[in-house]
Amino acid sequence: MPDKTPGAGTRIDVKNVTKRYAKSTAVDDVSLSIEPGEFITLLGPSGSGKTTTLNLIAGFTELTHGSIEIDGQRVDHVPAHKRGLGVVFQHYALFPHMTVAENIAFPLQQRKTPKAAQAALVASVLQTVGLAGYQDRFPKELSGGQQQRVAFARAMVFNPRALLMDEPLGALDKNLREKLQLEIKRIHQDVGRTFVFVTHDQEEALILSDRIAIFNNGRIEQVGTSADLYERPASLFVARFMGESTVFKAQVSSNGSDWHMDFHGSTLHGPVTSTVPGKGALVLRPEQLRVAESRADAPAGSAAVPVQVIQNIYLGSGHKYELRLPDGSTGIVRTPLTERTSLRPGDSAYVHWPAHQGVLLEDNDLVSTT
Amino acid sequence: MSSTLSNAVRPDDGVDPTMRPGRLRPRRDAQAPARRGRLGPALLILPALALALGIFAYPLAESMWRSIADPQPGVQNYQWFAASAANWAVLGRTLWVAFLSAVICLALAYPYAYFMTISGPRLRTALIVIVLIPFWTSLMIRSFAWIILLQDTGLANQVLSWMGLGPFHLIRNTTGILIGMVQVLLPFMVLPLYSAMKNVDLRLVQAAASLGARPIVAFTRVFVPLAMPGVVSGSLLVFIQALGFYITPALLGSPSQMLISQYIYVQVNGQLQWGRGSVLGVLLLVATLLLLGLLALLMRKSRRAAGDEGGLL
Repeated sequence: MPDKTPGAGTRIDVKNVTKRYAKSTAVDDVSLSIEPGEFITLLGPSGSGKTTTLNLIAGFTELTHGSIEIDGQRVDHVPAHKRGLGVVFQHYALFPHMTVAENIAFPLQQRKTPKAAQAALVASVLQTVGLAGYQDRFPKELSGGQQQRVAFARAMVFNPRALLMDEPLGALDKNLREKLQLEIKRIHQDVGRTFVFVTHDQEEALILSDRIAIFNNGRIEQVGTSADLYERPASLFVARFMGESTVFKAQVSSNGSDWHMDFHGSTLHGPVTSTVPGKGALVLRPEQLRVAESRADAPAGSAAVPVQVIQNIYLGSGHKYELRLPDGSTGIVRTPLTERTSLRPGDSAYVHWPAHQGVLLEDNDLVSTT
Repeated sequence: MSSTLSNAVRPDDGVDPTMRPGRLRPRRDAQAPARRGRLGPALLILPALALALGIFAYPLAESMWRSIADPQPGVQNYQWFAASAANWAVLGRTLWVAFLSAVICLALAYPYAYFMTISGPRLRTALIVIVLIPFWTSLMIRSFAWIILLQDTGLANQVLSWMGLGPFHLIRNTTGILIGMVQVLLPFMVLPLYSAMKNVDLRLVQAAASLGARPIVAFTRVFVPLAMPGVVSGSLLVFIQALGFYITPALLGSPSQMLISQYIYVQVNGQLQWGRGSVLGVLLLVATLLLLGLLALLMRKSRRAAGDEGGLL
């Protein structure tokens, strides 16, 4: 049994793991180090390999190459029932022929916990998930949210080395989902265990996680804190997946210290911080951009691109603009209320920003946005 | 019967059973469209209703009546049955042989049906065809074939003697009856079992493993209970059909170890004792209903877990 000290989480190392099926590669050379006690989210669109990675850690799927270590010990040939990990499934996976108490006691019975201790643990974990008094119900007699709480209690009750969750809130409605997100976060803080969470919902990932691993096409694009991913995306995919962005695409040239691109007649530039791509994509977040009615209204030295206003939406906290860029793509700008304009749909305007801002990435889109 | 069969052989939709979404919540059928035209459907069930009343209810009532009215009113037929140990032996043997048929069918069919659920669609179709082959040959032909195979000098005993065994008496006794009945009844066990097993969410077995259950424990504590409705309906189908078997025991069994349907034939056709034959029929019915009642009592708990979605009981 893992010990119970809060903060004594488990380290999980996924090393160069590949999972190939007959006709496809679900996970392609993925490496990921999960720190003890960390809440890490595997985030990505469906089919990106995040769930397969979780199943490989859980032991439900055999890997093709690579290794998985839990607290430094290789487990990739250890069967699921000996890995000591708790798993919560999107479909709850409660045993329909057992009551709530029998479901929760199941992992304790497998561990030969004495009967009296079982009852006490079941009662206490039901208290934790807010279902005290429900022990004699059958799963069918509970709502979806209650079933997921029971599933959570069952995966927690045996004090697993880590808790793996595969889109556990995916089947619930929005209000309930938000409520349970906060509860999961609270429980993580209380128990101090390692949590691995899979979702395709970036907002959910931002709320819950210490770190997020972004999956795409069976690979990890980037691992980092929410701020890392939002402010310093490592790829165009990450930039687009994490929040809104405006992307300026053009050929890039460099003189060693600065890079330049000619975006439909506007010169954009910035300091060189890493390898300069040939085909570049300059990514700016909505908060980094401003809108001006004429070029002269933009501060001297700022970068500016002529645009056409598609929408000017009043949000209360500020304005949100949707703009048509010269290459036909759409730009998004959020400004505080103090910077009001009278721009209307169809008006010509300029989008501008301090020239050093933005992240220059490689334009690896297969088809250009038009 | 036919509904059970068509359920069981319904072509699979090709979806990986582990990927089936949310089996766990009861699905409510949409409200039936309006209430108009109630009379139409009611008229359509009339032929079936008439048939059921005509060929089942009426003869049943008739034989119940005859058991106390033939040759003259009174309970003398029941007294006749109760007074002879040989009569009780026939009833007991019939129940015992039916029970053994069900147990042997279950033992053979369970791994077979399980293998069907975990195999691919092509292999599964082949396995269904194999199990249905007995339906394509007449019962008489099959029984005569068994006689040729199982007689003391038949193929079965020849093979056994090459292996240095036997000869065994494989027909004209209970062994022969069981061999013949099990072969005939096996599909009635395999198909309901398969039907129940393919509805078991295999992800639950995976969940059990994640909670620390060894494969054998995950199987016995999760898969087996969830497939139990199939065991119950298959066993009932086999048991109840086995009670009424006539041709197979008549050809493969022994006159000294008669089963009840043969005995009824002897009473009615041989001795023209319609009342006594009726008593045997009524007692068989009562014994069967008692067993079903007992089973229904035992199934109470699983009914609640299933959210009262009806099984056979």
